[in-house]
Amino acid sequence: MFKQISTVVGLNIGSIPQRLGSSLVIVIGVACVVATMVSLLAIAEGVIVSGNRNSSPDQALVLSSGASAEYMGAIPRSQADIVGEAPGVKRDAAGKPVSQPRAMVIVEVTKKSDGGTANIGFVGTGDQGFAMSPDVKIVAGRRFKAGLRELIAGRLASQNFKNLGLGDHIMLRGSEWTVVGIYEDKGGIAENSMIADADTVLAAFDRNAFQSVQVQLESPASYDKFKDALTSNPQLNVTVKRESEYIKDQLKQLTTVLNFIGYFVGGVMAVGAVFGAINTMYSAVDARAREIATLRAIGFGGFPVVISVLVESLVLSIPGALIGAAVAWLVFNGKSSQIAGLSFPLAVTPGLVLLGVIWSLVIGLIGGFAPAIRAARLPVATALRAT
Amino acid sequence: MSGLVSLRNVIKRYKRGRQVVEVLHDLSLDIPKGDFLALMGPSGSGKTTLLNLIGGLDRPTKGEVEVAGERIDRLSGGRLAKWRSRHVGFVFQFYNLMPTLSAEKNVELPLLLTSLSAAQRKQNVRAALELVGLTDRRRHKPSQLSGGQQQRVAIARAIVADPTLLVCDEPTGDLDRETAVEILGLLQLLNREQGKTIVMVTHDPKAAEFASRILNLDKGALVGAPAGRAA
Amino acid sequence: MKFLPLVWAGIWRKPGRAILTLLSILNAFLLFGMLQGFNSGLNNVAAETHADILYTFSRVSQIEPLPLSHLAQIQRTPGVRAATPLIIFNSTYRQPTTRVQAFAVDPDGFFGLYPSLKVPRAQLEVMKRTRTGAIVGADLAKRHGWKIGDRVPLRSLLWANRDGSPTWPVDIVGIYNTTDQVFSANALLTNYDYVDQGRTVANGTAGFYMVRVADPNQANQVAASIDKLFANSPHETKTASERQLVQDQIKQIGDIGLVIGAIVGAVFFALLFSVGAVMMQSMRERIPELAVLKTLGFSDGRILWLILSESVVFCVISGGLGLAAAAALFPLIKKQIGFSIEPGPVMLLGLGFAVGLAILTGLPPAIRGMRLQIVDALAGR
Repeated sequence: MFKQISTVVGLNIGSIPQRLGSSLVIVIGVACVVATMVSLLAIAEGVIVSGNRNSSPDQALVLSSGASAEYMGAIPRSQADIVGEAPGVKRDAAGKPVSQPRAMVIVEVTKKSDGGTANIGFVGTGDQGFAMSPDVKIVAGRRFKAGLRELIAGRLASQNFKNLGLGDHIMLRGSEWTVVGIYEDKGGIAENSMIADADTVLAAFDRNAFQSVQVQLESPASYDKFKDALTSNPQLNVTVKRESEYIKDQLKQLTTVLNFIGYFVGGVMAVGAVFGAINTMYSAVDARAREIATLRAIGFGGFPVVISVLVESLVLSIPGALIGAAVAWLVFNGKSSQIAGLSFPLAVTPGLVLLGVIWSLVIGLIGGFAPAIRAARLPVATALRAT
Repeated sequence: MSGLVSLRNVIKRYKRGRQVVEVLHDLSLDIPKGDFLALMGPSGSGKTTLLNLIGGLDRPTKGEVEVAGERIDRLSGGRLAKWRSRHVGFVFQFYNLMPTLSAEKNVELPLLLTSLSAAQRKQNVRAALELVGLTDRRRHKPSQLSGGQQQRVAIARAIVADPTLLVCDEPTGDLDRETAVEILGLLQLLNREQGKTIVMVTHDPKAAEFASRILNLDKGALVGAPAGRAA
Repeated sequence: MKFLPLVWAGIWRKPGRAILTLLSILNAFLLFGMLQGFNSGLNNVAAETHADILYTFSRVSQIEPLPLSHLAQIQRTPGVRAATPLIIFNSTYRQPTTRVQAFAVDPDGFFGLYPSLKVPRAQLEVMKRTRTGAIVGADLAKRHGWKIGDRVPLRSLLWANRDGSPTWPVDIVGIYNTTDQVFSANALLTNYDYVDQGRTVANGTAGFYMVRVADPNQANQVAASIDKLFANSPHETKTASERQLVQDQIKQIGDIGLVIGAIVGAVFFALLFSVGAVMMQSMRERIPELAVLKTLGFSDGRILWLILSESVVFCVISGGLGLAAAAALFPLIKKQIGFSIEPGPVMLLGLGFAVGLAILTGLPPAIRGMRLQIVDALAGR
């Protein structure tokens, strides 16, 4: 049986060059589907990758209870201090808790590209905050000085929006701020924001409480005791999240929509590709009717014929998927897309490439199925006579 | 004497890859009106080529071809096509009907090139089908007809536009003896009662007997006639 | 056209293959119709904006509140016919993924300023009397099955209630109807006082102001005047027309036009190839038939037209079916995203593409058919 299968498959594949034109239809059709789908999904992947870039499992974010996002929080200094003293919080060499009360406001900036506006985050932090984010590196200029209206702008924010270049002045809520530095964060989301001193930001934006407290835990396992201590404390009105969890939640709506679009468009295009594949494989079977009938007359079974047609369909689909993924990678990987003001580099991950290949297998199998059955059921006598 | 069809010193050469092959050598021929001519000869003798020239499907390399007083070797492209639609009806060995059209729609095809109204076309088609005896099969597709029936449809199509000339290339080549006789009888009828001029190529001597005149072609020249002189 | 039966027969020469090709064209145009419909609907909304409505937000960002004291000054600005404050009250209902677009408003001020939202006077009066009263858009009510008299617990995304939870119960006292494209019948409106007095922060502020100008032609000047009023104060404003606001929001999503264009490009590229291959294949099979037509006297040019006609009829019908299917889905899409889509321009563009497809895929085989030599073709060469 196996020998039969391999023989027929070999004959099939060997004759593909004679049917190059119609075979290309499957390759190109699948390539287009995979290229489009992978590119669209790469946007969502880019969002997720950016979000996960620098999250550590041993950091937690304390927010006001009822606040669905950091900028809505209101945690007075007294409560922030209690958070810092909670069990599970790491202490630095000097014995101080590694805990940072943060300010966070949303400000509107102007895009360089088309003059439209975007909302980005303006974070207020301090020394402990920087200690907790070692990946945040100043690549130009210097850090802001506490008490002065100085800020550092993320690399992507500086690139995309007006007045955020090194040395620029930007008006925020009636007062002028100076951009004294540019920072990078390994390409993560934070590069879309601005950072300044926490108390200065609060004062400038007329807030009398911090928006959150960022905390370094002794270990990832300390999270539970830390969280319990805070939620059971009647003086506090807070919710606690792991930093990675918080980021994921914030991005969830965006990634859900992006994934939906990617799969929807990819799905519809795949259906079209299936029709094209069926058509092509039917033509292939018709073109080889006499050859197949001869094999059957010699004594080859129907099953090897079915397998051979399916294999041919797959042999054409898989390269299509690889070409499509390669095009997506070459053209889009690393390019930044701007959504809702945030810049995300598209990520054509190995996972997506694999998805593309699986998609192509499905297309190839469904497309080749009916023609394969037809090939196996060819009435031998009439096919041998066919002119 | 110049007949309905007149060929003068016709030479036909083809290019086969790099080679040039001369298929007809300095051929002259007259076919009078009302003639039923059978052209016979071994394969490769050039009889199909000759038929193609007479029917306006091809043009001679050198020489003159005149049909009903018109020099068709001078016509080209669209005008030759128009001439064909008015003056020639073809009958092929393998019928060459449109597989997707019914018998009556097949017969109607040449009339689509005229300016006849739909009603007039219908009338002519009916008449042609009646003549070949296939009125009750007119709605059938070729795949639903036997070989003989298909050839009748082909003949109906060939005469529906009332052409000057009927050109047949091995019309009974694919039919059994009995059906062949029927078809040849039909051709004879068209010749004797309708006065159609018919040129028929065949390799079958029995078929040739239905014609009123037989000419033999060998290696691109008419046998029995010296080159240059009309037969 | 007397040649139509011949054209039709040519298309359906191999019915199975024709159906498959029809389906793949239909599929492509369905996707095109939906994408282009979405794109054109978006652009439509911008066109449907009211020329006499302005929005005043804080210059800091659209989330930053403005003091209520701004209202009187805005109302006194020359050219302003009316102004009203709104609190953004977007919430979730039951599931965290079910969003409800909501605002806390001054009932008379708001409904008076935006007359395209139609609500019975009596219901408006009830809302004024009921602190927790809310009037909802007809589409929103339908989506969640809300009726007048229902008590709906909303979970605010922005404001915590004084009782510590983010839950705000509202009582449905009215339903508004509208054909307005910009505001649509998808929002919930409750009382300004209810939210402002109940929330723990930002009391005495408005999320933004809606302003109606007396003369739409003066809109930009009035906007500038308003912003000038508060320039260099701690609460600077940014006033923009409704059109600018909508266009800005669309731009913020990203360059949608470009993405849609790229997708459509990929789809048509693949389609061109697959349909083109089918047509060439079909042509190869038909050479003998076309030769016979030529023997009957069909000229080269006529054969060209025959093949092209087949291509055009086929592509237009298949594409047309796909576009019609997309158009049938437009009302469904409207339910999801709120703005409606005019089928007309999308259909027209789609049909244009269908004809383009027909010509690009039909021309090579048509030329091949035109050029075939009768004698060679009949001889099987």
